[in-house]
Amino acid sequence: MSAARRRVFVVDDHHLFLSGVRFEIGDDVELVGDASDVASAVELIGEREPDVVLVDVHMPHGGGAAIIEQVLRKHPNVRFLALSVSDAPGDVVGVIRAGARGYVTKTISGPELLEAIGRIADGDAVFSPRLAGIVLDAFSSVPIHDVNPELDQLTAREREVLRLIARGYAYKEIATELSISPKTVETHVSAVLRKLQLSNRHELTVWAIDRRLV
Amino acid sequence: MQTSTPPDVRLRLVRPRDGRRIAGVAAGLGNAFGIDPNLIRIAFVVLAFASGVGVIVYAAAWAITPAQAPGSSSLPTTRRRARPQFVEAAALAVIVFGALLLIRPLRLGFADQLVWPIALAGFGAALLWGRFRNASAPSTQPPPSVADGSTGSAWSAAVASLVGDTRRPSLGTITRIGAGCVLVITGAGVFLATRPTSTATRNAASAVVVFAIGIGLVFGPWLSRLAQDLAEERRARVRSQERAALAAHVHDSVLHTLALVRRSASDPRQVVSLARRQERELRTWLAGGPRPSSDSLAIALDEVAAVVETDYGVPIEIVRVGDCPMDLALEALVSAGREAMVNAARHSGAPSIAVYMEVDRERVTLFVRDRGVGFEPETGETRRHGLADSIVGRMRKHGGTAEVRSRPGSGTEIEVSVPRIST
Repeated sequence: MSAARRRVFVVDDHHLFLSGVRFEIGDDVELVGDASDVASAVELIGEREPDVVLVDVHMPHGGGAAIIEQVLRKHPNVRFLALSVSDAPGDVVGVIRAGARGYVTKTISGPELLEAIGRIADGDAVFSPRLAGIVLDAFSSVPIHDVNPELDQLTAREREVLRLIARGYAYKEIATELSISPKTVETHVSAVLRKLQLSNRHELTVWAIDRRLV
Repeated sequence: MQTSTPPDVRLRLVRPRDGRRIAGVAAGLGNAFGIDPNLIRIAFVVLAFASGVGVIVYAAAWAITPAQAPGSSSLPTTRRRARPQFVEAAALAVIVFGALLLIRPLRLGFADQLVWPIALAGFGAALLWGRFRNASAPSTQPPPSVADGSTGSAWSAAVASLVGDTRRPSLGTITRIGAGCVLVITGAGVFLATRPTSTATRNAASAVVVFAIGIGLVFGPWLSRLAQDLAEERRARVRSQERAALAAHVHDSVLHTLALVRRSASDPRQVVSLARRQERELRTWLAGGPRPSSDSLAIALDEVAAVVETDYGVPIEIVRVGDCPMDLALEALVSAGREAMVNAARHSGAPSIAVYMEVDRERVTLFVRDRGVGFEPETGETRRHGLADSIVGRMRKHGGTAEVRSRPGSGTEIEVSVPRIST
């Protein structure tokens, strides 16, 4: 767990969940505020500039993705961790491409949530096994046109790391398995996150377009 | 009208009680051969104009075919083709065409100028009225409804799409309507063109055309409004039906589960298990209902994991990359996976089990991992050792591999994989 108390802001339109989160992590982080709709969330986050924002994916008027986009325009240093009950690939990819650095489902336990918040605050990405599976799926086909090898393809090492995450390995276990340092594992994961956010792969843009239309 | 049954008839030819127009000859033939009786009736009419052959054949069939015995069912006798097929209808058309050509030299009865337009119009009408089914649909399925656009006459499909039951008529339906209209109009045109031309007829024909256009202009918008209102009403009805179905489902399953959760509030494991089961069931329902596990490996694996999870109360998380249809080797893979999951649930003491399934071009690989007590691979407990042997043996039979990795205190991972059977 992290040493300094992280400043955390929570956005969710489900009041029961909000109070649950406050209860679970309220002692270990500094909760600087919460909001339950897009407009007030953008405003308050801009005012208080937290380290990490826990944001729900599904909310009216654009949901988590809209909040992330609007906040990052003016405050690019705020870091977002997306939460949802859904683990549909479209939702996950949509919110990551909007700028979130990690995705966890709401069934996550308190200690795991704290660890995820800590990691995001340190600048790393949080990949659940399911997100790793989605990325492997999206990057598995051979792209037909306009390949930007930096963005549109995973390196063999990145693939190995993702595979181990998907199999349920923690970062330390991955480091042992591949005989590299945990810091290197985190570097690879951040690189994958960047590719997921910036790649123009068909599979990813299709999901993003679907979300806009819905 | 019982007469002797015709000799060596493989198919039972009877004139059914229901569905008769005149004497049930066309209905009986339709049932026996699996063709829409309307098409057969059109064929008889066309042939009747060809020197009265149609009438003769009809009378002969009436005489030969027994009426359906009272009390017996009037279902089609051949189960194989219970619905009209386009191929059989085309065969019927060819037979009629051939008969017309054969009869022509006889020069009896009506002249060419009458027979050919009627034949053309008959073919057009057959296309428009005949009920067909997409060739790809298997005949063992229940008859599809008109709404899905794959059966029914061309008109009913067009009307269905107009009132909003289906998005738009399929290319096949549009082609049929177009071809049918062209044939009928051509038939009428040929008929008119070959008449001794009289100004009166010409004027009458153009008057009809102008009148039709006029009516179209006057009533067109009103008819289209009617169609739209009908569509909206249908949509509203569908919406309320779906709401009712949702309410029934929620009442049956979710409220029931919540009541059980309240009763088991002191047993957290039971509560978690109930919640997971209900969640899984709701997700399946939202996705449109359960699908057969033979469709895909993902579904088969989900089903197996659900059963293990319910039986042993240990949550199992599945991560998937890719999917493929089931085959024998994959069935062995899935049952090896089940064995691994059961073993982990029973002996590892882990709070959860992670399953990872990967499908690529050549192989399918399955990993079952837990962070439980683990065991010494060499000397391990007999039960877990037996596991490795049985899984390895099963995989080898299908050309696959299996590996069990474990260390005391750091959990166990079982990897099984089979090569894909290339089709």
